Amino acid sequence: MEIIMKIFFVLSLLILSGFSYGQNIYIEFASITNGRLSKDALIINDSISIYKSDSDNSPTLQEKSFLIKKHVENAIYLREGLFNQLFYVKDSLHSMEWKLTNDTKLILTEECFSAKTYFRGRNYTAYYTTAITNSDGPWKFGGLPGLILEIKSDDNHIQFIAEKIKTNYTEQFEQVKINDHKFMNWDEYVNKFINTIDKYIRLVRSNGSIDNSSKANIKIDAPEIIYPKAQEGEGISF
Amino acid sequence: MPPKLFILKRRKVKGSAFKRILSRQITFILFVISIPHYLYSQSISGKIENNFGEKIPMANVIIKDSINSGRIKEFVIAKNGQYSISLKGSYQKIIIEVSANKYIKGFFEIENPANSKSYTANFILYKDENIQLKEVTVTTKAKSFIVKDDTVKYNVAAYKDGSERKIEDIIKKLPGIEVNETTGVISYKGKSVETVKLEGDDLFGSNYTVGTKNINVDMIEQVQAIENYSDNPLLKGIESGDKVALNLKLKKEKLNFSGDMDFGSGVSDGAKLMYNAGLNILGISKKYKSFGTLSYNTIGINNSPFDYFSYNQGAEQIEKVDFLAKKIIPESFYASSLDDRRANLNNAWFGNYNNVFKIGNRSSIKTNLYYIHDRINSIQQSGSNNFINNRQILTSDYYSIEKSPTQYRGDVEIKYNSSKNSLVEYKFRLSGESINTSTNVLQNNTSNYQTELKTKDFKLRQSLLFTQKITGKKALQLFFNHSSNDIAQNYFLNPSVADPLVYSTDNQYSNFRNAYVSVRSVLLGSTEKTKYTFSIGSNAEKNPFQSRLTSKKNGITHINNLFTNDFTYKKYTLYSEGSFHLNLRKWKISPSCSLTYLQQNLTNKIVIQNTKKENIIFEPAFTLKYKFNNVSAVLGTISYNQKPLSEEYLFTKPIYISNRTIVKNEPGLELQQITSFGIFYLINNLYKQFQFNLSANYNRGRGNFFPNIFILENSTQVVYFYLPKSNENINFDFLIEKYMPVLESTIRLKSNYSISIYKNIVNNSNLRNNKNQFFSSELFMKTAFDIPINFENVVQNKKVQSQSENSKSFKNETINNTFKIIVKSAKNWFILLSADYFLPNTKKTDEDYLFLDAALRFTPKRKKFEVNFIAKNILNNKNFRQIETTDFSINNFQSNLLPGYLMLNISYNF
Repeated sequence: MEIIMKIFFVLSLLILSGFSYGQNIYIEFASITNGRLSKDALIINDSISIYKSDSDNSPTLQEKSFLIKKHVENAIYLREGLFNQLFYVKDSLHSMEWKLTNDTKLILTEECFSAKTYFRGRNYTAYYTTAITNSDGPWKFGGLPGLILEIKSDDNHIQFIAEKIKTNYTEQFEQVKINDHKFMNWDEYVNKFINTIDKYIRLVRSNGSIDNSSKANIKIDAPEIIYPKAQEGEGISF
Repeated sequence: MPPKLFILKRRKVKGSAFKRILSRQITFILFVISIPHYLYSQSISGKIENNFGEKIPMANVIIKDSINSGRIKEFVIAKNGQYSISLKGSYQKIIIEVSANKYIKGFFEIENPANSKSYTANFILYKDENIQLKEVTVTTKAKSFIVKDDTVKYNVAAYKDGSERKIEDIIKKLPGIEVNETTGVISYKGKSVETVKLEGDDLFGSNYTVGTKNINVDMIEQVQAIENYSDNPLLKGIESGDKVALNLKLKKEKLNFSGDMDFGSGVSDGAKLMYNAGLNILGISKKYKSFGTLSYNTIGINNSPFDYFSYNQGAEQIEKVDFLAKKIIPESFYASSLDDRRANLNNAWFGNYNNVFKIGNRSSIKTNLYYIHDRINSIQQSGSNNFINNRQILTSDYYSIEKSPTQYRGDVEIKYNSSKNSLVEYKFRLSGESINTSTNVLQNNTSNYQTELKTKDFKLRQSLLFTQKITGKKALQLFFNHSSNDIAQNYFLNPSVADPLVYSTDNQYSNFRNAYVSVRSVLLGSTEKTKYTFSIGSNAEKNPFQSRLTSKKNGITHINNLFTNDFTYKKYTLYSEGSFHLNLRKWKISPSCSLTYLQQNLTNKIVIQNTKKENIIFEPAFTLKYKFNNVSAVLGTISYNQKPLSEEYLFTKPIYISNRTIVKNEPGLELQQITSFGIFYLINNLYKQFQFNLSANYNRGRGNFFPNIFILENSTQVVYFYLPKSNENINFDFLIEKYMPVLESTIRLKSNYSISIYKNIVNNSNLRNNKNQFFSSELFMKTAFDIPINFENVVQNKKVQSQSENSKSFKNETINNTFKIIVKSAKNWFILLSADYFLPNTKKTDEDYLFLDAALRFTPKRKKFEVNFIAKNILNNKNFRQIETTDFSINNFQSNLLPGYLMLNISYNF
């Protein structure tokens, strides 16, 4: 009875998620984002990739962070957080422009070629392998003629390094149902980000937590530089 | 690219002519360079399908220069079976390589490609039949990068601008961190900080205010707030993750020798000189870190971690109450509702020197030395209107007090890592304190007394701690503690109060000692979701107490036997306790309990009597936390404790604690049973800039020493006696805070309501049931305009009502409003003007107080100097009166204040 239930469950998942059974690629990345270390996983299928991060301690699947790339739609569906508030954002897929460079490096027994890009405030250097043809990579990165196994920002704040690859990965897992959420586009999210930071700074200035005779600066740490005034240099001073 | 174009136009021409030629040159070059691109680039496009004619959804199209070269020149990602690329480079031979997942690669060559031609290359790819079906894993052995978890780093430069002076000013501003204005006690995310470290070394211990109040903010690069902090690095990850600490990282150029000094001097009304001076020196190297401070002031500031004015407990005092002897005659004045800086007329010297040596790689020695000398002057009036048995008893006393506390203290701490998994720590502390208080009392406008209280307090403590890490997640600790505290108080009264008809002066001597030894062993462990501790231990304590009263006249000395105490109180416990923490999804569950065998022994040497009591005590406690979502949570706690009542209720013969009040006890060795529970709900939504707290607490102590008070015009007698009856306390707290974008301000309302139910006997009454109700609310509003000027206003209202059942109730209501104007200009100027209004009794509106203060600060760009100009108490209020109620009286206290003064202060940073 249990086996039947399992099969039914798996089948329904397949139907819902449109995942083709078997032949997935699973890559484990070690990542640093603004000082937080986490172990992430990228699971690639022909038309959908899923990027999961274990850096948060959310108890339920629905609360776990997710980033889903739908290659056919050229879109990324992801969950962003800002002050513990969750936003569901639809971003464009692999929008960064690459410049191929001449370095090579051996990562996980594959020879990788280098490329550079500038993405939302930072310069990055990536190493990709053509042995895995999926034009993909960790987090929002991708768009090179192969899988990115390592990418680092020049200021070292953002780093992703592949530590494990499993080809023909067959393990099944639950997928987040995209239709459950309403997604806003990236520009809307940028506006919300900037407005919220502005209001937060005014809150800090006006709730008495800062001694009157002090001046203060607030600097926000985030992977993408969305609000340069608050994220670069000394931040916003008041 | 033809290089000769550059050389052709190079000519040395100065000034703008050169610039014009250069710009022409550049355009020319660009034009020239762009031509080949235009001339030679090709564009290639086509379809990519499989042999069934289906479009291949994703493929990589790579442009290479020759088949053997691995180098990819250009590429495009083909989607939906189509691709198109405009080449940026020119190639002798173009090789197009198309690859797609699970298909064999396709190739196409174009030899000698023609200029600016469009090519079409369609591909048909065949499935790769050699696909492996087995799962293949490739792993790297490389170590991931090392990152420190649980640590939030705040770069000081990002939080300040040099107008704050001491690191405490920065720490206050960091999100999640609160600093108690009076004591300097720091809490992070609601938990009291264990210590503030300097470069990873614990230089200050729990007396971290020495550092935070004195270290100049310019020396610090970064403040790290550490959660799951463990004082013992072997216990990190094992100990219950509730401890927090701060770590200060120094600026690179500040490593070595640095410091700052400031000197301020001013005049007060009455042409009295006021001073505020300080010197801080920091000396840091890899093996040796030291910090010293020396300060002197007469403007009410307390730079030390000890409080001799209001007797607020600093972090250290809160932690170590058990090992102290009791002071029978209190040093404390009443608690002024005004800030120390208005009411503390001091003359305070404070010196402190701390250092840490590293010896080899395994051990370190830390020493801290403290010196305090102060002279506090106060003129107080205390008037009581007692309503007892339908009679009014009025008292009115006038005090002129001079208190001189002096303290010397030295601490040594040695740490030795005996192996990679074990640590030995030895701590030693020695302190000697003497407080001399001279008081001139005018009692009820009739009798005049002169009193001198000399208190000498000697403390010695040592402890040895051994920690052994058993596995990554388990550790064992052994503690040995020994402490000795000796408090001797000599209270001199002139004229005599014990026997005024016969003698002229009294001298009361009292001496309380505490000798304490304890042994304890703790096992700590943790798993992924749990943390637990289990310990067993034993304490032994011996408290001898003596007091005697000697009266003198004309060389005749008489020891009054009615006032002689001589007893020894001994306490012995053997206990085991366990605590457990479980993290389960949204729940955090923490049960704990302890089982203790307690033996108490009271030997009275005068009456030759020995009383012994044995108890077995079981004390459970339970805490539950539930997180609704990312912004709100609820916490509930419940606990039951049994404790022996304090040894200060054990002396049977009377002791004078002031010229008016005499105290004695009817002792007993009963235990008090304390039941308490509380619930706390909070919402902290930073996204909506909204905060909400609601909490309720209930405490009941069953079994107390109740006071039997007898009040006459000239004397008050108190006898404490035991009854197995309860005192109760209920407390409600409420807070709501929101940033209002329309007003560009934050508004906050805080409210507290508490009820205390307690008992006493007054002037031979029956046992009275009393109730004290207290209600306070505070409305805070502060603006965050973009202009340099901003405003802040806080209005507080407090109501108190004390009543004994079926009796008259005593009420008082106070209002206080503080209004500030804050000006921060970009040009290094800062101005603060404040108006503080007090109405101590809303029924007497003519008795109100207005304090005006002004501060002006100038910080030049390079920040080596800073100039401060201060005007305090501009209206020169000389006294302040406040009203307190009890269940049978209304009392008013008046004390003098620091006069209005002007001061100029210059700081220099080196």
